[in-house]
Amino acid sequence: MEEQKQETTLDNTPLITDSAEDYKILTVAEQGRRYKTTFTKKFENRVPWTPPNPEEVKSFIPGTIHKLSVHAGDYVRKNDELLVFEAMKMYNVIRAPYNGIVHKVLVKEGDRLPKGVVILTVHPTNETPKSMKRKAKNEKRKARNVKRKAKSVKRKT
Amino acid sequence: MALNLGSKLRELERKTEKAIRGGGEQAIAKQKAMGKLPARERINYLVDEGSFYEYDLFIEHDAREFGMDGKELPGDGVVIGTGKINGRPVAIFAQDFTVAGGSLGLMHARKITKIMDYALRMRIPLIGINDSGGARIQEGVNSLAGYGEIFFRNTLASGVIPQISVILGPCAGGAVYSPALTDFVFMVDNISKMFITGPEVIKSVLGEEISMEELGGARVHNEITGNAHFFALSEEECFKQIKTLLSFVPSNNEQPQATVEVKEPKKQFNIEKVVPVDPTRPYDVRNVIRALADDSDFFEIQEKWAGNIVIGFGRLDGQTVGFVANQPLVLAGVLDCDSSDKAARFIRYCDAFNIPLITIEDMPGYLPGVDQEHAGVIRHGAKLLYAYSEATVPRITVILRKAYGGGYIAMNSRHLRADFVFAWPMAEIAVMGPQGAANIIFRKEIMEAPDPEAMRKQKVEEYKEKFANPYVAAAKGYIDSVISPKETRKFILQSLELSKTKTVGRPHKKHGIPPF
Repeated sequence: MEEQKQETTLDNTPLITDSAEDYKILTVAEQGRRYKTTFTKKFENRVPWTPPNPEEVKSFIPGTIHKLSVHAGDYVRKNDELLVFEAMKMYNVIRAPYNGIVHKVLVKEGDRLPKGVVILTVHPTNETPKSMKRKAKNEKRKARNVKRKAKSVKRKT
Repeated sequence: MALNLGSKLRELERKTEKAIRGGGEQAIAKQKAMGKLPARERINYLVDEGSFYEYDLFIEHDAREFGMDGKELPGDGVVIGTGKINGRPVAIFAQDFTVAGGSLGLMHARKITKIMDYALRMRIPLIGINDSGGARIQEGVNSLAGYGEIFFRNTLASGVIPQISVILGPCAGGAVYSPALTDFVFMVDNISKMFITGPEVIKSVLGEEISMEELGGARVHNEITGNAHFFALSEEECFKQIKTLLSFVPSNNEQPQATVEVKEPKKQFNIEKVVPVDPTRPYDVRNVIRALADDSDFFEIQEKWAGNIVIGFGRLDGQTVGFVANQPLVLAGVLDCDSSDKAARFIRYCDAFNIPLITIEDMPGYLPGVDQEHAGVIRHGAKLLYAYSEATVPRITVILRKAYGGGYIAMNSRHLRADFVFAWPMAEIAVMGPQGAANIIFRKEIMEAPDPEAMRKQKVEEYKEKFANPYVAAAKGYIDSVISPKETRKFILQSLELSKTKTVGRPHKKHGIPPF
């Protein structure tokens, strides 16, 4: 590799200054090459992307929690009203995206939120509390029947 | 009053003096206390001495509601007229903050549209000095009507005469669309403010607290939004910048520019020493431009935004040219959303005003990232392709080092009908870098080799030898010549001379649909 002499510009700053400590390395993916360069502020401040959590219901615009229609533990059906969110002088009804159980409610009525804040989370499930109870009962009954059968088989032998 | 000329003249003098004082001594003192110059002083700084002729000094508003009846607003808060800048006629308006806060009412807007009409009719540059509290609420919809008439004319005149906006105070709400529609926006630190909704509204609606300066000051628009093109620390510096800009651009889209005496680039900028041969080492591409331009005189535009591409005016052979150059010093010179936007708009400006374009390429590809993709790098990158393809001015490209992938096409390649494309001997023109390409093309050999790493290294070297050079592209005529760095200026000058009589047609259409 040839050595480039340090030439200077008009005001005596060197033309090639990549010996400076404040150069960063940027890899442009396909290349695999590592480029010595500086970064823009925008690039340095970028927020690394994380996949969105589908159970989170977030504020899509800055606004105020006008009314909370559910509590933690409630079973909701798809399109049930979860809350009313006041933003830009309109009352936006936010609805359940699927059947499920409200897991956590992280705000209270009157809270003012910026954009992108998690308001509540909903675990998707088709099991209503009622159907879960019924299932539990059925499981118990099944277990009792298995036991009874085992006993009767024992008696026979 | 006596019927003689003398007394009539004295009356005129009296009225003129009263109107010129604007909002009065106190208001002018307040303006100065804020670090701002009064409107007429600003105009005097800008134009050649004694060349300013003012019109519509005695305009009066005719609003009657909300306390306006009987209220005297000299000139209705704006100064309009024509003057000369370095001998060239220009049309100017300057809003007068000392009169009703420079607010825009019907007659105020009429004055502005009048001078805009003059500028367009006479085909001379229009300079608008914005310093206004916004719409005059008392005049209601009339203010909106006024703004509308201004925006339409901005659009009508776009590409016919240079339109320059100088933000020397607040420029808020709808008003801010006028500068956005003009060609160049000048801002001054701590004085200029541009935003659509101001801090008070933002606080009351969203609860976010921010100062005017942080929201839409000169730095914000020069560094973050890209809405501004020039940044000055004082009004005086700003006026100097405006004069410099005007010295480069023609007065309208049909007039050839004035040529200037040709001066050779300064000896300090030795083009052979500026660019390292190792393609991963950075350098400041502006030094390359200075090594090529007459007198090493390069007037950069939007210096503080999207630093990975450099745009600006220079001269070659005495005539103005526009430079577009990848900047390896910032983000390795990649193309991304902002740099594509920045370059595309500048290319459109040069094409509209018959300014030849010199493209200097050293670009490893597009910036990868989810944020880029989700920000629409596809759409923004396409703007660059569109702008170059539609431009019919002479277009010359010099590939210094890297020209990879889609970016090679976008940076004024032969395929977009560049007039001349030259490459330096260390240029690498290929679809992909050696690492990536070798991994794909020789995947089988690498996997099946006894020592995959050694095989990979060998294949990368092979690829580098065969493809990371300008000769493959040269063999197809995709570049016109491989030239040595020190011949670059010579080749460009020759190409420009030939291009003086360039004539191209395009299929007839009302206009295309650029990816806005």
